Amino acid sequence: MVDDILRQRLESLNRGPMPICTTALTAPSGSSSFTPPPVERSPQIYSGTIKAAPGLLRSGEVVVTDAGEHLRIRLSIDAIWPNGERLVATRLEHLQDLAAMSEQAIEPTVVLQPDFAALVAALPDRVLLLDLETCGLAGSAVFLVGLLRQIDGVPAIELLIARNYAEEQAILETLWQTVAGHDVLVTFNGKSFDWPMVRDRSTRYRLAARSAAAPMVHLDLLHHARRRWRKQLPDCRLQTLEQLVCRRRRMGDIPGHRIPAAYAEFVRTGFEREMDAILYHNAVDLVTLLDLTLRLAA
Amino acid sequence: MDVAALIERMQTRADYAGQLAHVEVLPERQGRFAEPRQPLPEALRRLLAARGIEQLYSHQSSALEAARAHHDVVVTTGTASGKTLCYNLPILEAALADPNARALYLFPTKALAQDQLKGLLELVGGDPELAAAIRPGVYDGDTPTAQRRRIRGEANLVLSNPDMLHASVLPYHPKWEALFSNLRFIVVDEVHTYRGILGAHVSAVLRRLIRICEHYGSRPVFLAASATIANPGELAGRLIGREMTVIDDDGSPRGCKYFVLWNPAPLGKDSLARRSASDDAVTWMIEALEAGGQALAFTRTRQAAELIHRYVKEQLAADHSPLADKVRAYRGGYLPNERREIEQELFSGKLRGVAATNALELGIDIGTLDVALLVNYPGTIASSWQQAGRSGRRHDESLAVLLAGNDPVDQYLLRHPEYFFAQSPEHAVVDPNNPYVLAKHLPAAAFELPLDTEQRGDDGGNDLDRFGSLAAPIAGALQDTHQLVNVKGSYYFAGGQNPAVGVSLRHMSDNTFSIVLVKGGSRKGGGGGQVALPTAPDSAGSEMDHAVIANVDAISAPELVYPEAVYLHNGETYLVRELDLAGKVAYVERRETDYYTQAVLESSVRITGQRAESDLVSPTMLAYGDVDVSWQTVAFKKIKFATRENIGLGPVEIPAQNLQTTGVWLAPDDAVRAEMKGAGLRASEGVVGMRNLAVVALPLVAMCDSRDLGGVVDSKNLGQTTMILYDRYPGGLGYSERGFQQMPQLLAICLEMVRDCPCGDGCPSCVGLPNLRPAIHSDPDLARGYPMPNKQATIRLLELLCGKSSAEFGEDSRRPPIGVDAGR
Repeated sequence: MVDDILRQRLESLNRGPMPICTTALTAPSGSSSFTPPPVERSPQIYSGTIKAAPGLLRSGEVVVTDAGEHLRIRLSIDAIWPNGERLVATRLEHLQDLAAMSEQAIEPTVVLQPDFAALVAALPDRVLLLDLETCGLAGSAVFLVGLLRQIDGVPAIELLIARNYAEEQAILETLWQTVAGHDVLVTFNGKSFDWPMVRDRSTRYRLAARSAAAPMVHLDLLHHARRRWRKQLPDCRLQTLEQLVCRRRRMGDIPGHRIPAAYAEFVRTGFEREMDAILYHNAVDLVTLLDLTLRLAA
Repeated sequence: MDVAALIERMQTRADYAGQLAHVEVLPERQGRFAEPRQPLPEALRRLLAARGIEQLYSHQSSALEAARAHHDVVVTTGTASGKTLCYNLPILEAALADPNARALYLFPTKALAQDQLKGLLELVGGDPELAAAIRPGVYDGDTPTAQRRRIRGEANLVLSNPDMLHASVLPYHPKWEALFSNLRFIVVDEVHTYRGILGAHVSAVLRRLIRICEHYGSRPVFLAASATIANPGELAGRLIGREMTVIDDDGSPRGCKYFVLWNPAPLGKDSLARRSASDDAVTWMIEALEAGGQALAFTRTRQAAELIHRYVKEQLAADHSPLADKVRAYRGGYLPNERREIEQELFSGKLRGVAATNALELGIDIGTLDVALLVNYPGTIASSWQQAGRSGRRHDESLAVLLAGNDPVDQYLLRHPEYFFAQSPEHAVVDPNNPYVLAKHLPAAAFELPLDTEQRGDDGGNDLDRFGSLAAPIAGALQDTHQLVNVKGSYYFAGGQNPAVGVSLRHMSDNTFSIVLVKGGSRKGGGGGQVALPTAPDSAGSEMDHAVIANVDAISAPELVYPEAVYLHNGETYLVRELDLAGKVAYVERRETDYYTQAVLESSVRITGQRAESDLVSPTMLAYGDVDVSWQTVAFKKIKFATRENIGLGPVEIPAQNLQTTGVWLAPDDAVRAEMKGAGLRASEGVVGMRNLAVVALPLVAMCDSRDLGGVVDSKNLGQTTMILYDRYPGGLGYSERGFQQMPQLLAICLEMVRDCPCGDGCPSCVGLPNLRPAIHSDPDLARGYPMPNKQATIRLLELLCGKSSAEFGEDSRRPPIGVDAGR
């Protein structure tokens, strides 16, 4: 069904000239020279005064790539997870001890699965955690590539943001440049969603040559989490694990299902508050992903 | 077979009473052959030789050369002229030369894609070299998920349909990179079916397809094939948006063909009503089979196909003829496996006679038969020749018989055979610029790739311009309604859901109901004619007792499988126990009955809101707005087989179905009516004639097909005789709206058509309804005929209406609708 405003506009366009008609009738004058009416801008939807506190988005810097510009935000883990940096360092040490022990032991007490062995070998410098935010399911656009990786010797969150639909290609370009320096990719449900999405969207921009050159180990934590916690937990969604395994709670988070609509609003109106919430949401997801990675590896 | 002897035999039967109205003999035609300039590769020559083809027909050679030269072609030679090879040869040649080369085939139905898959597999199956190089795969709604990835990656010949391309392929084009990067040929088969609503949608889908191909760097050549229509080059050209090379010089040989016009005998001495065409078709079929021929009867409704099959079989069985087991019915709704089986047995000659609906009219390969019986006029000249073309041996004689029904159209054709044989087939009209259709496809296109408005191509147009001159203002309107977002000169789709999913390319939804046979029968048995309907069919037993035997589309399910209906399938009777509307299932059980049932339908068109009123034909009431078309099965009749006695009536309680759309209505005012009354004519008869003309004339103004429109004459809505024309598409597609804006022109065309018609009292070319659409599940012999409307009344009415509007005629019919009425 066509909505009423659109219908009225279409009605004004539905003026075909007299087409194949054997009878010689005078066509109405000027029927083929229709000029479109001036485009009216719709009034701003938010007229109320909602305070757009200078948030995460404002802290971004513009990155210039061969495929255009996009925004980038870097955050320390501590900004999201108080004391997280120290905790991570301790667990890393522990992990490396474990790995060393299992190598030396003649009868290894701990046998790492191949994926995790690769992970431990690559930690911390050559591991990349990834979580996308998109406009919808398959076929729709990616607007936020959330990464967590070692920057200048410390783990840090790096958000690549398309400020509008035209910047998607640029964030994918930066993603591929970043991927190049890493051996292991860690995601949550990324084998079914995030990574096929990255590939499809890159193919769409004809970035296929780059995607071919990425011989990475892909560790999808969803499967490992299911194996470990399926019996204890009601489900194995990331947020469930965050609450019940990592024992953290989010404040002021935006529910995942509202993210596509919130981004569409942001592109249309430039309204930042919900966008800040999306960035926060993604950053917390990444921190939880890191937390789970270390827990599962141990 | 000896056709002349069969015709003579029919005339020497005891019941012959001069039914033979006309015999036209179409002479034999010699085959013409041509060698391609460059010989075909060895493997292909081997393959053709194995199928007994030593030389190509001239049209096959022309098509091959055109395709090699990267010309887009449309082939429009006759039925069974080897059209399929016209597009398969260049594709197979390309696939042999380049293992990466791909081709996409589009068919209007899933059945045709399956038929072609079978044909391709058989073609290359015996040859290891070809079998390795040619990897066809069907990708449609029935393709199991597990196979989809493999077909996307490995098939080099992908067989699909426009609906699938629209909703499931183009929106996910990155997954199809291998196809789109290497696409060399796109086959558009049965291109004549893409007219009107479907055509407007398909033209948008093809533009989206071309756009994606360009994105991946391919420029495929279009190979189209069409049944005989008046304007194949124009239709395909508009549809695809390219200049087409038309190949219509048929080089295939054709044996001598007899075309008989047969008028069933009058029922009584002075009776105008005649014996049923179906009954005469039974006689013809039996005589043809006994003469050693293979025959096909085409009926206009599914029920008629079932009935003819049943009567032929019964009569042959009564005569202890071994032919009794060699007749079948074939129609939409049969499951794919059953259809394949019938097609194969027909092809192999095992089946001798089939009663079919036009489901067999499209290009499914069943070989050629000796006799085609057209039971009632199929409604169009193009369809008549398409069906008649199903008989026609390469060298032997063949026969087509048109058995006239009681309709005025049929009777007119029988009185004027010269009209029938001289009439050119219909024009097919497609409008790639329909704003309503484009408004549905531009979001889909933007979802696929941003619609760029800045960069100019070689032709000076931008990306958006490929959708026509209206695309820019429509995109603007879509931006204002927040469906598209313009960023730096490109339109982006502003959402995450694939927008193609909610857009149907066809008239209505393609939901289907399953017809499920519950085995074991009813536990109580029917006592005293009362039917015991169990409360829950799934309580009857395990799932083993249930089997799906057929499908029916959701629109006509309430006409076919209402509770207590007798459902006819392959000549056998099944009793419907329950119709589960929510679950889309009808439960039937096998029950021998001596009657079949006929739904009693009620339909109505209700004006629900006026959007605009106009004084273009002032002071006659002319308006445009929303209408609600509804139809409902309210009762059913029990009809005894063979005698057609009505032996009972029962109520049916199922909710009405409806279509909310837009319409235009016109009601002659009192002055016009008074003036007609003065001349001894009835305005209401004139309105009926005008409606019949307008349904034919509106497509000329609105660029659609008559099938896309509905028209009724009604006096309930406005309290006086009113003509209402509406679009057969939910929400409307602007056809009746154009009729509203251009009513004076429309009426002038109607007047010209009826005034210039040389007939005396009206004929199908003017006031008669040329394409009467019976309910497809009814027995046409039970429907009452429609009288030919009064020609003089129609002419006078149109003169009065045109006279009134002539002052303003052509002055400013484009102005925006006056007095937009937001409320009721």
